[in-house]
Amino acid sequence: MTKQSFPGNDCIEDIIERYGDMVFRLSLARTRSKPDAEDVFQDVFLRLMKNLHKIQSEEHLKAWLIRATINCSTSLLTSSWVKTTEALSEDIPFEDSEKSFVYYAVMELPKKYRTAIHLFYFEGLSIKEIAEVCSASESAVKSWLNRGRNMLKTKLKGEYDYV
Amino acid sequence: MFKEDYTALNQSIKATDELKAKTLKKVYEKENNKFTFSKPVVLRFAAAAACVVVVFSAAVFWKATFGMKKDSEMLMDNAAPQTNEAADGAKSADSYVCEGAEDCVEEKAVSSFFNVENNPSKGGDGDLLSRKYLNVTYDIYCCNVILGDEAVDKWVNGVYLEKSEAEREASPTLYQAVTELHIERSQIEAYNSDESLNKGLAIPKVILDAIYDMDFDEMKEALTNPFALYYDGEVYTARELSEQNDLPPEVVEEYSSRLQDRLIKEVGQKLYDKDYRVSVDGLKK
Repeated sequence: MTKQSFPGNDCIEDIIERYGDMVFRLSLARTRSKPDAEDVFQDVFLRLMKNLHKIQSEEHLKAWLIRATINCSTSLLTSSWVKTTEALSEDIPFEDSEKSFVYYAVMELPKKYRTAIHLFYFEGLSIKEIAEVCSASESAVKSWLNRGRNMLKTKLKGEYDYV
Repeated sequence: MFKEDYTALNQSIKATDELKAKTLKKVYEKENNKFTFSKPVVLRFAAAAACVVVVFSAAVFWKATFGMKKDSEMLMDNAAPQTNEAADGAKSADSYVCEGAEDCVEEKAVSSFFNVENNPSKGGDGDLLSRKYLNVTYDIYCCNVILGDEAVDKWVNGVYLEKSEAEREASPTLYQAVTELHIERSQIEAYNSDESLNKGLAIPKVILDAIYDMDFDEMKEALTNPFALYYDGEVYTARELSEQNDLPPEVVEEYSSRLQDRLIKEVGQKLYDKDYRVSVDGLKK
């Protein structure tokens, strides 16, 4: 098999190993469906293979993957056959299952809000970076985060002092 | 803390090795130009294929329904040569309407009439050998539009159908209708120019020229069906000639020879052998 070249002698296997989990988590947060998240996962790396020569750095690669994941999941979500997708079924084997309600509370948020929450809290992206990958203004992202937090406070019913 | 808990929960979510392997396989298949499609691509392809099928079916339906009329427009566009030929035509077997280069246009047009209406090789159920005049002259819809259904029905039931078969076949039906109902050329031209009218229903200019500008015999010759024979002021179908005729043998022989060529061209050798050979050979004898 021919390996796709990448700056820094990386190849597609290394990239999947390094960023596969990140892509899958974000896909799942966006689609709330494991099968759909897997489809998005595959689409993202198929796209990456075609565009690998355009990637210039590790930071660029990460941002590109996040952006591609958002785009692919949006395409999937706007497709007619997934418009009836149900909320994520509670079958994720969390290590700390007692806290799983936190994850599902985030998943119940509107797509924009949960995407912003996920990227901000888990991926550690700044508001500016989230705005860039989501093609939105920074004030819009701030708004999404604030509304998401407020909704989480209500959902989590005082479980946390600060979200 | 929310952030710590959410992060810890997400750490439990991982892409499986199976998913990674499957993705890698697809990536390499793609790289090696093997065709693999994601769900959206498959659906888009299926949708595009369905669109092609629908458009193609619509085109076939349109051709079957209106193609005949479109050809009549082509006939109208090329009216002059055919009209002149008819006007100058000799009263002999040579006046066979579709003979000569000029009548190729008419031949095409008339052939297309049969293709959609009569030609059994194209799904039609008509008999190519039974009509004396051009198909378009059997349609008097324009009269209905100009005078109204009531007036035309009255003429059809009270006059036309009261005629003997020989009288009805003595001249084209459209000619009889417009002369007996006193419809002026300008009225038909106004009907033709009505923008709401399906262009396929317009009466070609060549037909109007024949009906209004030619004497009776010239008109009959000009409107003779290409599968029929115009001779000495009369129009004969192949069916009539095969039953009985007093025409000179050389005239009939020449006609049958040309008819054979035309039929083979129109319906193909196989159908000709099956349905028409006997009739044509009968003419030759």
